[in-house]
Amino acid sequence: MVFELTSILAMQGITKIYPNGLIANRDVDFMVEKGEIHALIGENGAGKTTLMKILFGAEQPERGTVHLRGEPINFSGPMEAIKAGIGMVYQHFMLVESMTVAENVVLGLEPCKWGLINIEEAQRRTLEISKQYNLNVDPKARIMDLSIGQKQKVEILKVLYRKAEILILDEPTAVLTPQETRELFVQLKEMKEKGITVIFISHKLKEIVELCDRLTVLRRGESVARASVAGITESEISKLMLGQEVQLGVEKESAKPGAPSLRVKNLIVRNDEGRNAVNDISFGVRNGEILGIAGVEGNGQTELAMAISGLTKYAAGIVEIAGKDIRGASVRGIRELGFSHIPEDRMTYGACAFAGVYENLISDRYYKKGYSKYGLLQSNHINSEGDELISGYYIKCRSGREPVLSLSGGNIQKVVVARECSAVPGVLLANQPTRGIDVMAAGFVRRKLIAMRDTGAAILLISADIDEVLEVSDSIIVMQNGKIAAYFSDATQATAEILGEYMLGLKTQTTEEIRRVFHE
Amino acid sequence: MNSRNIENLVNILKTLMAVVVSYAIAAVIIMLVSDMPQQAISSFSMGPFSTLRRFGNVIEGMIPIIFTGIGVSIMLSIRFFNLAVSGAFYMSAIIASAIALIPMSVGLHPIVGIFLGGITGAAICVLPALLKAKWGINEVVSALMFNFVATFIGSYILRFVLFDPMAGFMASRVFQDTVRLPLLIQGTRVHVGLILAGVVTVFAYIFLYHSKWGYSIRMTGMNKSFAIFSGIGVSWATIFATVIGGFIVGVGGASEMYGMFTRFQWTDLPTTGFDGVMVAAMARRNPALIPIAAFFLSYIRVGADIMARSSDVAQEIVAVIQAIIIMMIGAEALLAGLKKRAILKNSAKEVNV
Amino acid sequence: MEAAIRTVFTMDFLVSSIRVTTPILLCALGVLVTNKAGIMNIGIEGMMLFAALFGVIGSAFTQSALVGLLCAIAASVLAGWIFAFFTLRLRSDILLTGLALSILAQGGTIFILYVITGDKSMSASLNSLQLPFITIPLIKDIPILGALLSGHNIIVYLSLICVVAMHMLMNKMPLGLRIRCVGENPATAGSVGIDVNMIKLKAITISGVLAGLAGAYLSMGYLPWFTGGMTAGRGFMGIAAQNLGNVVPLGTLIASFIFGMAEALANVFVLLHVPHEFVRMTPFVITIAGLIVVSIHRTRKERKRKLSLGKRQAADGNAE
Repeated sequence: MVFELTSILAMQGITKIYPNGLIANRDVDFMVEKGEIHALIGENGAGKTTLMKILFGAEQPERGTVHLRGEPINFSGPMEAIKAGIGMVYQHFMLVESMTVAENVVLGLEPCKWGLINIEEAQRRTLEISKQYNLNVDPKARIMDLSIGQKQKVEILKVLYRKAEILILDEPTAVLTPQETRELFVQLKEMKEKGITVIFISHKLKEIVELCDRLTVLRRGESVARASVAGITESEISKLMLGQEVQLGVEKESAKPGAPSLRVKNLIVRNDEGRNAVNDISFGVRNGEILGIAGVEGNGQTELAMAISGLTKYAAGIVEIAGKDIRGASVRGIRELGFSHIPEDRMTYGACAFAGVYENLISDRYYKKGYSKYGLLQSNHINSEGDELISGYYIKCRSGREPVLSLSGGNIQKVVVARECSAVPGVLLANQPTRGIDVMAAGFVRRKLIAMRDTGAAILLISADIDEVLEVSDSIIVMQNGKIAAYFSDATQATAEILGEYMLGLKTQTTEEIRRVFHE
Repeated sequence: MNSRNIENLVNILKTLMAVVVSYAIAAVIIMLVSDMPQQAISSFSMGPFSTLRRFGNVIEGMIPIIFTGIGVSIMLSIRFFNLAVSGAFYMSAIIASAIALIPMSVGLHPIVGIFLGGITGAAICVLPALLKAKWGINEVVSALMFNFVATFIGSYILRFVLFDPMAGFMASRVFQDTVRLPLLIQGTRVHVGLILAGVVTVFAYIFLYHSKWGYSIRMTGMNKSFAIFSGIGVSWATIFATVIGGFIVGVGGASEMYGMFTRFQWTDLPTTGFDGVMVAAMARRNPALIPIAAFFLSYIRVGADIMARSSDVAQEIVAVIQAIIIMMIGAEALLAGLKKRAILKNSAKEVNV
Repeated sequence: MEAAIRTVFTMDFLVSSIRVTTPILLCALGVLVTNKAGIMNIGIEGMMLFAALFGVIGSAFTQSALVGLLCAIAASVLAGWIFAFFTLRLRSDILLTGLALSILAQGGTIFILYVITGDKSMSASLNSLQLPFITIPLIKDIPILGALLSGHNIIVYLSLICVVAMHMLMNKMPLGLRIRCVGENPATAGSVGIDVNMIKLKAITISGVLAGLAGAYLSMGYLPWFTGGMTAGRGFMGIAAQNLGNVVPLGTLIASFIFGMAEALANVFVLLHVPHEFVRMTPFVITIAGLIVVSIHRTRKERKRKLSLGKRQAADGNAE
């Protein structure tokens, strides 16, 4: 095809299967024309990262070819990709805080004179590039004194200094304020004018429509569409991205909600950069109800979960569990109010990899009566209860002493779920409870959440899996940009399409509609 | 077989390999420098078992190392690398010596001294933990500072408070007889401290693996985020671990004084603290294995001492063995390929079944 | 006491302070460069001890002080490479390996000394040389300054050059920039194609050269022979000094001089039969206090910075 031959970058038929059997990319085609801004969109786990890793030489595909400027290429590492003119701006900045802008820009490729860095030359070149592309930062400033937006400019300068012709930006606007975003767009368009090709990875449809020329949509590892932005509507993109609803086959009776056990009022949580990641939100979760939080990741869900469970401080607002304000309470104190938490990152927070299953099952209760007496652990009781949980939750392990490390992901998650559910919580926070685990285990975890609800627990379910939110929840809120964008008191009234529009910021409900979720 | 067993097996293999390699290198060195290498090697390896007195020397030498090794193990269980054990051991010996000069009744005297020695050890070992918890100060740097400070304070106390002008050398006055720990084995200097060391070993094992405090210490050490998530007080656990570990080190310093000496005469930090780090590394923080590691260290020391007296090889060869063992035992990448293959093969077998 | 005070204000005291400062300063610089690369080098004590011994051996056998100096540096660098092999290649624990290196040096040097001389305590029987003492023409004739600035061992002058060189390395040379990057943010280093382990190896090598100079100074300048354990914790003092000096070369120079002065003062006290322990102790107490102050200062600054960033972000957000 002539079309492909003119492409500056052509990735064809890319298939990548990870050793654990996960098919990350399945016959993906990805073509980028010279001098365009090309959006690569898709949900988390759709295969965007893997595709970019393959382009960068960090992963090798099982099948498929990559052509750069018509030449077949096969990079063995990032250095080769950089030399070939491909530059990546990572979401987590790769900058040395104690150094100046110019030093960061030239790092690894310093202009030298008699063995010393020619700092004037470095500053001059930095300034030159920043003038050329309108990326205004002081070359002499230290990174630690810069705002996020400025740091991102430094990242772009770094890539341009290495003479990149293809610039990959991984969700660049996730960390920016609206002003900074607007500024970035002006600069990117300027770069486009100067012949630089931009690959823009994002979820934000508005931005894509505003900025990009063409787009490629990935869904579940496949490229489902390639289109010019002018010829497609936002809701069509949304549909392509989220796809058709999949029936998970979780059966449940309708909820009989009681009074709210978890209440959040005007909560503000700042992230490390001082931004309001959770921006003044209020809601309540009632006993015997599963409230699902739908939303594209990075819209404040993580910060919300950390604040409710006492793992981070919140800037303002009130969190009440079982009628008690948790401000100043310790993690243990909050748990003793009847709170349990299935965390998003099971290997960091949920489980201790090197400890055995028994030991992992008692981390929240080891000090309590029955588990220890005169300070000594009651191993008979601990082990027999552990065995009950192992069989009750179908945890596959050789023995309760086996380190969690050697269990499969699904079984590790079952250990976490077993611990958190067997605490008989009044309030259960389940954050991405089925992420990255097999279908059987996921089904088990979802049914368990419903069973917990039926015994009267108030359950807050945070999930990036829209099908899961739809099927498991009794009512749903959508989080977008740190705020609640919508509330559906009856989950059956919502569909993926409707939620998608709120998740992607195309629509927002009125304040009155959203206020109902506080259950005053 | 599960992956923990494989891990353990690889660790045992690594330890054996470290011992064999270090011995081999030591043997080569001996052959290179000695005119009577056979004599040297045989007295080095067999000497400690040749007489009761010499075997007694091994046991005596092992006792203080057990204490510091156990103390370090408890602190390393929460991943706190506390070099202040050196200063703590030294300082507790001094305080115990000061107590030993005060007249007191027979049964009570050593108990009071050993207890105060323990308190001293705990107080010194907790300092780096406090500085780290409060101000985030690197524990290695602050521990080194405290060691220097302890050395100078100790030297001052020895020279101006405990000093015996009649001794003819730098030493304290002679201890009261009431503090002396009774002899355990006639014909040697093995004292009741050995029993105390045994008790401490059992205590530490139970504490670390079967008590709620030990549980919180180990979980924090293995995965701090998990511990915080579960509601374990992480800072508190660190401080607690250093207090308990430091107390044991201090008990070791005091009982060493009362069991082996009649005067205090150390003018510099003894190496016992660093020995503790070494045996804790060898035993991989398991108190139950500390006596074995301590026995080994004491055995090579006594062997080298006998070798130095019966041949032309200096006893400092021990340093070579020690250094190689420490470096090799901690080597993550050593035998890593073997471990990976074993685990893979094992899981492949599991899948087939 | 009066006598002590009088001594302090003499030129001799300053001169001896300089003499004592030199090895601490060189060690501190050696620790600084590895610290910047993210390695806590507690093995420096051992590297220095090996250097001190091999400087003596090298100079005694070749009857050349220069060869002796080179032997000292080679021994120290070699010790550094053992450290690097275990920590970088076999991924042994950095602190344990450093400790092991110190133990190896403590015993190993005595062992080697015994093999060569049959004496365990000192190398007096070896006819080793000293590195030259430099008299600077003209300056030596200036009344007070002459005695202060002239007539020191060549390493003393070298150590001051090393301070400048270290400053240049860290701020003006590509290697220094890369060392700082590797220590602060290894992922960044990898992303721009910097070989992290290679940079660490280079830092350890530089550390070895500096420890080599320090060791050679001890046995070929400060004293004319080697004695077992002659480094006497100076490596650890170096760790303290570069920390107190906020891990920059100039600060390290000043902090090392504080350590040197305290040592010199303590030596005066010893001669006067006054308790010297508290003087000796002072720099270590100062170091701890200094670390606390620096930490409090840093936390405050950080909080302020975050607050202002947050305000800025919030202002931007509201403008929308």
